[in-house]
Amino acid sequence: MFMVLICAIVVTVLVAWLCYKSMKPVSNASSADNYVEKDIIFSINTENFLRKEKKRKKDDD
Amino acid sequence: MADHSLMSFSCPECGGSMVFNPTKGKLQCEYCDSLFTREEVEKFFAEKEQKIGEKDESKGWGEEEESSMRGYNCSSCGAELITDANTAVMRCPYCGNQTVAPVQFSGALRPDYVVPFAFTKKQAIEKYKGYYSGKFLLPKDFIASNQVEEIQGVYVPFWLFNGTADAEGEYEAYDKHDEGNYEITEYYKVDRKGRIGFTNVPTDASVRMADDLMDSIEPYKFDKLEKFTTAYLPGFMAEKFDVKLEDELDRAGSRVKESVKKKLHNTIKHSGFSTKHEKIDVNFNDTKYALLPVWLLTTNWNGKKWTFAMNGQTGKFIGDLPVSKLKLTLISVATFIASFIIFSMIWSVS
Ligand SMILES: [Zn+2]
Repeated sequence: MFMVLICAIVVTVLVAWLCYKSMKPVSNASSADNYVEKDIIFSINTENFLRKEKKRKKDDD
Repeated sequence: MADHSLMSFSCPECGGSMVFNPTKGKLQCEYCDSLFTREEVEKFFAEKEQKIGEKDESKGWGEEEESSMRGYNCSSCGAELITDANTAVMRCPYCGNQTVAPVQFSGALRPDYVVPFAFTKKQAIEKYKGYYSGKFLLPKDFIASNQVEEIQGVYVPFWLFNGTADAEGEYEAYDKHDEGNYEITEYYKVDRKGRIGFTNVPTDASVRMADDLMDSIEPYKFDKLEKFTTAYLPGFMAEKFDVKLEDELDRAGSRVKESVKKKLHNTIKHSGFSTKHEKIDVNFNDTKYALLPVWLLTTNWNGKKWTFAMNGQTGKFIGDLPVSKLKLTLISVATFIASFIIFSMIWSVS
């Protein structure tokens, strides 16, 4: 019963929040993706293998 | 078309007043419907005024330009607007108040470029109606009190930044897989160094214009950037910039950095990574002062200012809408009851 109540509250808050956000679409632009003139040209572009780690998997409870 | 009733350019054909027709991208006579490009009209007036020599290429305004321009100040929010001599400004597009008064036109910086309007006022009104229609949470009286007809075409001042970013990063990437009872993690040292070019990163140069609102109507297509002339102004107004170039460097820079960071990270094709070292230097080497077209509607409702903006080039419309507390509460209660019943049923079954 208590779990049911918690789940219902979580769903309600989520739905209300999404409804509210759908009315507030204005936000700051975080990137300049639309204004890339030339794509990135790499002078260094390397990958080197470092090490390997082996870990015993946890037994299932 | 009351908003287009007063225009500064008279038609070379019949002497009637001309308006800028955004659909055709030309000036059109309201009486004889003749169409002229801005070049044609300019040439006509240049000859008429016996303009001598080439137009002054410096950043200042020409003498004829200055005499054909008018300034307006808003006593409520302080907005400084300019337009041509015969376009009347009645209402401030920034604060929505009828507190604009004509003032002496004073030069300030002449814009380098302009992106022309591609949508008419009628189209902007239609966009706005489409924008709020079907929004259940919108308070009923908001639309009623909204004066849609007051939407105004404003050239908003922008700084456009060109430059490059030099980036370097060192990352430790890893992949995981299982081998029997063991989990194997393989680590890699990933190094990246590169350069990327940016062009026309825009930041608005207006104190009153909300940055997030202007960001939200992006992108603008800058291949349509035209050299500024006053022929673009009839029927519209332009705000004078009041944010200095230097003050927008950081904003443009952080946007570029964010893009570069994403680009670097996208090249790491592993299941995960951690950043060991990352450095991004942004160098802007060229800036332009441009006017970008925005259809603006500001309304005061419930003691709050609500501003809506439409990209005058692409038609992208945006603006935060008020939310009816009553309707939101109704939705919440309904959701709660419904989800409570559903979860109860799932619970009782399992
Ligand atoms: Zn104002």
